[in-house]
Amino acid sequence: MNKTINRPFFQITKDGMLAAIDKMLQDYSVAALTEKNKNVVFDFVKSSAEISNVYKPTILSPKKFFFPQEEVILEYTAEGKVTAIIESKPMVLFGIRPCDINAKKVMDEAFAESNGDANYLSKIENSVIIGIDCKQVCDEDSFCYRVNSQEVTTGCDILLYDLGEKYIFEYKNEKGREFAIKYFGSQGSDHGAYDKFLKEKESNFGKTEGPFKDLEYLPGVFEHTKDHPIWEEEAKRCLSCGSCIMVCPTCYCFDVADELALNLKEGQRLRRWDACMLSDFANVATGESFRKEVSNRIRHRMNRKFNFLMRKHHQPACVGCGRCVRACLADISPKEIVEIITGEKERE
Amino acid sequence: MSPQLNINEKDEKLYLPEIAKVTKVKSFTDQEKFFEVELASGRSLNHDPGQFVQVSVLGIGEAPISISSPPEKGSRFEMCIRAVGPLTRKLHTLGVGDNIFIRGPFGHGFDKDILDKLSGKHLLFIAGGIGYVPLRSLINMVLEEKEIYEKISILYGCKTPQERMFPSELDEINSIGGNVELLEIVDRPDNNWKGYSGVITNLIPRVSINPENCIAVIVGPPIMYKFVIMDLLDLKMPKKSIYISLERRMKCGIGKCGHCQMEGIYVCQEGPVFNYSYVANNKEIF
Amino acid sequence: MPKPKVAFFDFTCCEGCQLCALDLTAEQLLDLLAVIDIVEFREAISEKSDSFDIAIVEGSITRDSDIPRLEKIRKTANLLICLGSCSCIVGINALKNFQKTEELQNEVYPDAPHRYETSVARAVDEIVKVDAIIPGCPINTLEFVKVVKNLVLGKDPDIPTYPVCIECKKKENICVYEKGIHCLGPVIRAGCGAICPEKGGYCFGCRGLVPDPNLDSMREIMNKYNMPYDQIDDRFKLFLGRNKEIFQDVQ
Repeated sequence: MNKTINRPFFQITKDGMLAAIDKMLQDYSVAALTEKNKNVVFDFVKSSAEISNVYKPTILSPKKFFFPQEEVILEYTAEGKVTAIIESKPMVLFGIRPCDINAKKVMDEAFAESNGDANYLSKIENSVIIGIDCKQVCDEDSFCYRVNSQEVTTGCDILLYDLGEKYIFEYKNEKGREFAIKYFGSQGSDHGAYDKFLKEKESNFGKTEGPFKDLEYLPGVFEHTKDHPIWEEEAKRCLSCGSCIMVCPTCYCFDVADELALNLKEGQRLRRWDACMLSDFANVATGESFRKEVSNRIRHRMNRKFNFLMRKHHQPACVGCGRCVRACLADISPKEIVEIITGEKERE
Repeated sequence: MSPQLNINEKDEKLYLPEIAKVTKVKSFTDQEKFFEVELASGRSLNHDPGQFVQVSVLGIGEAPISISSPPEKGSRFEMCIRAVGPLTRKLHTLGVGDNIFIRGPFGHGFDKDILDKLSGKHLLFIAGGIGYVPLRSLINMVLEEKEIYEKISILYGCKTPQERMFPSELDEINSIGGNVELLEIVDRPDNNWKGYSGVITNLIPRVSINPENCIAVIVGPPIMYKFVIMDLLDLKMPKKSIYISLERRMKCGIGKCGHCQMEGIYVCQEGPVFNYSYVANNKEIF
Repeated sequence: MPKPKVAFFDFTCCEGCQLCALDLTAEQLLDLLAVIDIVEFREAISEKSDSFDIAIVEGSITRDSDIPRLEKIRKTANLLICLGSCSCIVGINALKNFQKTEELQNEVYPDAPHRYETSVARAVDEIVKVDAIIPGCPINTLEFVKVVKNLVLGKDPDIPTYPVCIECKKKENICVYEKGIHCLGPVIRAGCGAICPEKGGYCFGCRGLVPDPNLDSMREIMNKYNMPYDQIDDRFKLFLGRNKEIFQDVQ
């Protein structure tokens, strides 16, 4: 948090924002929180009127816009002409929350590191990400405050603060600046409004349990608890259904498959979301699995979030959005697992 | 600090395979076929021994296959492919002149750093079954300059004599003599088999090993590593003198898809060749 | 490549899955007929044939007298594909296996219990080797096309091994358990597109269990959501009666 730095803040009325979104729609596809089947989801809207005013955590995270559930990566013909397919369109992602912004940071780094994945990165490059800060915890399943992911440093281009009758906003980079000037205008706001927002936010989050015990040392803690009984205990309940992974904003494992058109003249190579909780994820060609036991798969997944990837990204790869907790019929919660692993809590 | 994201550094050809022509095919066993392949671009693979390529047949799929020829063979390289799935079964139907598609080479093989450490050493190769294939690249490479090693011992175990890979090459190696020795063993010998019978670990006591100056390289089925390594450690070989190469089902080859992960390690990036001391405590290794 | 000859056969079933297999657009149907020749298909053509490469079999085997016919089909075909729950997993036909055959005959045909032959209902794979299954009650037409195409290409049939939840989550459906509905999705093989929970129903289990399901936990969860164990058993019984890991007393 760099709250002491004298950052410039701007403001725009709520009506002004709606008009700005309608203006954006002429130049961009705009995805925002919208109602679908009595639920809210992030989806493309045709007008600002379709955007939901009330935030409720969504089932899927906005990662689906940059890392689609299924994506063509190659097209080819029976004659052997192969083309790499890298698709992106100018889009604005409006109103994503700090947890998802922090998750996007992990995804960005994962797809950029060592071999820059053009399919993912070109979509990011072609997008403007407008975040909205959260003033309080959204529901009892989210635990962003335990991993400090209610705080946004980078990961979006513009960050909005909802002050009821208006937004104040700041831009996070040059792309955000140019975009904001074009669509939101540049009416300045004094720091007082931001300070007031921040004060309320700090007061609300001050009532939570705060970060995990030993948060920054979790990789080491997880490294030394590979034989902890918790893995077997959770495995008894776990259905291995993979729901936790579908809804996770930082899971990016995928499967690759070829599909030939029925006419057998042309085909595609696709990548699709995959899930390390599924029983055959770590199978090799001969059918042997290197993570056959459910307990090992849960351990692997949790270590990805709090050990392996945390070492790489210098933040937990779990952002506490709570989606997996809401999705899990067996009530398996990363929050509870960490609390038990660190000795912060005992199992009830 | 976190690495700075640079979205300009994207590789648009990451998943784009290049065309290659089959130039030679030979059947070894019912299940295994040898392929020599030439990249249509004329480019040399420029691989290290132990690396792999992603081989695909359009419409069927893609799979990781280890390169079994030594480096620098021009634009041609060799693979030995076991028919275990739809892709490899399809590959078995191909003949000279047919096209396949290649990405790579990928992974971390026996790079210069490792190879430099091998000179003057007693090299102990231990291969089980089709595990000889990924090892062959390095074996053939060191045999070409065998003088610079103290000794080269190759221990090779198969279930049956029919499952031996590159049988004529094995005969050639056997006749080299000097500081090169080949010991073979099969689980289920037939009437013509004159070599040893039993499991591969039976061969270890037949080689004189000075743990100070020996480097072991092991490739085989998962079950084999455990027992072979146990025996080598009993002989007081340090963990860092043991190299292994591991099999995983890479879907991307570039450290993204997650299928080859072994705890936090992406085998396609840091492996498939590992110094045993680096992975000895890994719970998902075998 | 000569086009493989495909023949459809049915045993104890409603033949609905064969109709589903025809539920293609004209273009899809033409594309399909470009890669296969249909030589016998009672629902669609009047021709019959004793020579075919791929046999597609719908229905359970519920009479011993059906076995020679099935064996003959198997002997002729290079590949045998099961179509629909009845042939893949017995499905609802397995309900009769919870009663003695004699009892059933008396109950259904009290006047002439022995006029109609019947025995324990079995899936095709209990009698002959099966190369691929296309489960579902009814089948998913697109999956049918995909499996046939994959087999013609020499690929694996490639039907999902993961559960319905995966497809349901991808569609961002609200979990029906949140509405107090008990769904078998977490332990049932996907491929249907989670169509039942999506439409406000629940997964009946028509596509059979995933490999290695955690049934104990599934039962506990259903019970936690206020369903008594006997009702849970009934829910499993509808399509999963054949599974001895659930029903030890089934024939």
